[in-house]
Amino acid sequence: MANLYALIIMLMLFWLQLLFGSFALHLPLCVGGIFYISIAFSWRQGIFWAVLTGISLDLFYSREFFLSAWAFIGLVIFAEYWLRKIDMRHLRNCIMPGVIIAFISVLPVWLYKLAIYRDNTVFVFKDMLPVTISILCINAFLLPVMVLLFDEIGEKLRLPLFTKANKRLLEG
Amino acid sequence: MARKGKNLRRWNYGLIISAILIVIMAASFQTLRRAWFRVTNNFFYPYINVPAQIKYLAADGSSRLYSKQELTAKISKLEADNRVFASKVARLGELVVENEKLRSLVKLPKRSAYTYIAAEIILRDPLRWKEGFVVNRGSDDGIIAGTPVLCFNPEYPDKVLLAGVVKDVARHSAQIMTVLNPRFRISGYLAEAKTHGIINGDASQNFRPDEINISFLSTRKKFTPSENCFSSGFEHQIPRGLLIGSLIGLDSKNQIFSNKLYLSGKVLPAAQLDDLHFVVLAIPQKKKAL
Repeated sequence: MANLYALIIMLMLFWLQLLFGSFALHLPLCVGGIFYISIAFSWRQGIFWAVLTGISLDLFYSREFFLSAWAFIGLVIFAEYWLRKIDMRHLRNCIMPGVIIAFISVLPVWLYKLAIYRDNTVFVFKDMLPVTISILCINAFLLPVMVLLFDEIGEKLRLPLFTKANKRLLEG
Repeated sequence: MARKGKNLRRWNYGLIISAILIVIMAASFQTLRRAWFRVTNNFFYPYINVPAQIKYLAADGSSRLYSKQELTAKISKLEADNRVFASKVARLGELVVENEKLRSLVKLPKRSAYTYIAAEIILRDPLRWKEGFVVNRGSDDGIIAGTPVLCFNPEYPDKVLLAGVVKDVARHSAQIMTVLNPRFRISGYLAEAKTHGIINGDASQNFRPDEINISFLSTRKKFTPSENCFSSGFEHQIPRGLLIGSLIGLDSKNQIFSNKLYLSGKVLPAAQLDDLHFVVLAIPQKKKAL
């Protein structure tokens, strides 16, 4: 059931991210989903979805550089670290990871642009900084909302919850 | 102790298996990339196409808001437009026949025939907006990799512009690589200097935002700023004479010290890639077997 739930979450988020992307709006929804799955279910599932989503996203966007999968794997490592360090019961503790994972989602494009326009870093900063700042701000609020929504559905389906991940970790 | 050894062995096996997987992935990267693109695009196409469908549904629905008189007026206006277009098409048909006759008289080779189809952009990378996009036409419409993608710009009213080429094709969608993509490589022709160059041909050339690199230009020619750069027709599928952009300037004129045997320059693209919603794909017609 948890696997099916993860599949539905990721398919929906992937589709929504592509949809908003078509309107020039980069919403890092997939990274939010991977972060949720890594904490609520397990880091193994997180890695699976990170690789799959990263490769798919790069292919859909016709990116020649396959950095997203690596960046998303880094996100799963960060999620595991955050789970062991911070109490996940409080949604306010999702604001900071929201900012960090949003930065992870744009990191591959930063690296790509810095490599391509290596003699014109001012352009890269001018082009990417406004987008990055807006994404960080949006995702700081978006991630707690996503966690709230997915946990609400997960509770009804009797699935492992994000907000009870610390307890499960201690018991396991 | 035995458990520790078992864990270590398990880790070793894991590392070996992942190393083998990485090698296999690297070896079959291109094939995997194409296969993955086709499978995922065929699967996701109906979902990606949803915004376009919603737009058409809304447009259809909005026509119900008009009164009968307004609809009648619109129909009569459309009929009048249709009559004008029909007469233009008839005139063009005559010109085509005349052109064929004249070509045969002066023994010119036959014009290469292309089928033109319009396509709508359905997917774009928000972080690399001008470097590529996905259109709602695919191999079912006869599109193959390398098909030229054309567009129009009101600033160049009587010219057909090259926006990019098809990179990968799925059944109902195709990935386009625009002229601003660093991997876009074709030959260009500078009309006033009467010389050819290669777009993105020199890997050592620096990239600048919203500019196209052109290299391997002859050192013996004189180049004027803002002269037009066209497609040369050297590529199998891309017809000659499509406007790529206008020359901004040359990178370096100091050939003696740089030890270069050719010139490089920058071209400003003619296509407005940031505000592009529809494109035209020129599919070369298959030649009949002898």
